[in-house]
Amino acid sequence: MKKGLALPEMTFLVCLVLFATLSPRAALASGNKNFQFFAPPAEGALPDGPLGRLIRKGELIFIHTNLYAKKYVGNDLTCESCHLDRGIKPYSAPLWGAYGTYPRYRAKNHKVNTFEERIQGCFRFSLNGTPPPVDSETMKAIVAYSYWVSRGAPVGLYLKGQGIVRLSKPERSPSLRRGKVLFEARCALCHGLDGQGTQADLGQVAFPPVWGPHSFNKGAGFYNVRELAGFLRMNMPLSKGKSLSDQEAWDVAAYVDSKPRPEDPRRKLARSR
Amino acid sequence: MRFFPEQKARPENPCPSKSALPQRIERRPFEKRISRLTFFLFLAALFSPGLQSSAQASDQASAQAADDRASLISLGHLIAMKGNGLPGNTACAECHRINGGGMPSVGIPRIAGQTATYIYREVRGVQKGTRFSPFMDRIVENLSKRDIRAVALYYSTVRTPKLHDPAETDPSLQVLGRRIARRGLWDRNIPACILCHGEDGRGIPPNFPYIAGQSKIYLMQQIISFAVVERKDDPEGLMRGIASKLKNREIKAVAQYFASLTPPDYGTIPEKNSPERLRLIPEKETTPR
Repeated sequence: MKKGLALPEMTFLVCLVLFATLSPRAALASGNKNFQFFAPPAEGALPDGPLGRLIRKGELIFIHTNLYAKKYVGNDLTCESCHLDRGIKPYSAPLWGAYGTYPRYRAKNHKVNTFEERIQGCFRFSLNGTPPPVDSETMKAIVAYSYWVSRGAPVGLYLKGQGIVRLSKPERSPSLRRGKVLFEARCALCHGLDGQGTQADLGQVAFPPVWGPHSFNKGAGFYNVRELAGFLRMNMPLSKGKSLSDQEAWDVAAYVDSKPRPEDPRRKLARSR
Repeated sequence: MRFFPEQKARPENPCPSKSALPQRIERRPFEKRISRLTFFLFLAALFSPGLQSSAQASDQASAQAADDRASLISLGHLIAMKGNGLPGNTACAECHRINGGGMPSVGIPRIAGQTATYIYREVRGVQKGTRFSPFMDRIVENLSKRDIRAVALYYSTVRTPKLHDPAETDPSLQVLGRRIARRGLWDRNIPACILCHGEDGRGIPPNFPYIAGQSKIYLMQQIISFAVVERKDDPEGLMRGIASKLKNREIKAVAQYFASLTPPDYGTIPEKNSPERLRLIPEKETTPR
């Protein structure tokens, strides 16, 4: 009898402790190492009505960017190419890590950026296209989707797994030669020896091109070797993140960034003036 | 200079008889004509091989390739029907059926419309022991590389509708299976299956085979085979990593989901995904498309 009575109390206590340790604010602010990552609330229950439809549209834009936001995209990449798992996977610049950190001053354009302006940057550089206006349906949908996956994330606090991991300087300076060998051995399976990606059966883009005319341009964040190396270290090859060492990630990133790609649109602008 | 004196008489004679027409034409000397003829013949002989080679070489090459392909396919058909005649080699059709539909009830895979490059890779894997297959290793032991190429090419060209899969399905697992297939379980670093196996499991040839419409038993067998590292021919160890992270219930669910889909009916590789570009060929061999 005593055991029977004690059980519910115990479970209640365990739940309480779990809740206390896993609630975002306590865990994230204190840097608790046992805490994994922020996880958005379970999907599947989009609100009815216009908001739900807008969120759904944002999600579709995220997966099939060159179908649902065609006029703003200038290459073969999608949002999901970099923001894995529809912008939820930690260390691949997840949306829940970004949504609460704007407005923010960015040295890239020397001004305070809103979240919308940050998304415009994605379109302009990483997608090598034209930025959608702030009041456009596309922008509203993406922001609505970002809001949806960030529910419950604290605003303005550091979250474990946000952004892209910042690697420290490698022991040996990154070498293109080692990078080429690694790329051909481990990346060419999907991205091709010439880095131009793979097609699916009906001609859709399956694995994105990583350089050349259909890839991100020289203004993109990934044109920075450190940032690309951080992404590769945690996420590539798909499902086998962390299988490249820091040094290998730097080498491959240096090799990929040494290849030709579209010009930075800001430089083009400066030249035409 | 030719001059016909009879012509002058025409106006006087409005209806000239045959005798009035020119009877004698001044001709060039025979020797001169012959020499000119030989000269032209010589020129023709000089240029004709060059002309022929430049204009028809590509035609001949493509015709040759088509011929090779056709003869390979017919050889493959023969081996599929009867085996190659060497000891131990049974007809592929015994298990995979002549239409390549396999036997869903016992987990023998469907191979119709799978790309030739992939079938070749897998049969070679069985020969080398990287793909565990207690039935097939004795059968393919005596196949030469050309034989494998021929059979692979034959089955890649066969079109077969989906066969009935008698495995029982659990409706409560369908949602989970669909989720793993389309979304993955990223919190355990398991990407969506469709990222590599293509939209609706239709495959991204040549490295990633189609899995839609395979039988549930076969798919479960293979995932478990990857998980316990009996099968280790997957590039980069991608499937071994993913399979070892899946739980039994999830294996069942995802196998059931893909078994419920319709297989594609192509066996060709998109122009862009040439095997040479994608570092696929394990032993520097040219494989048929």
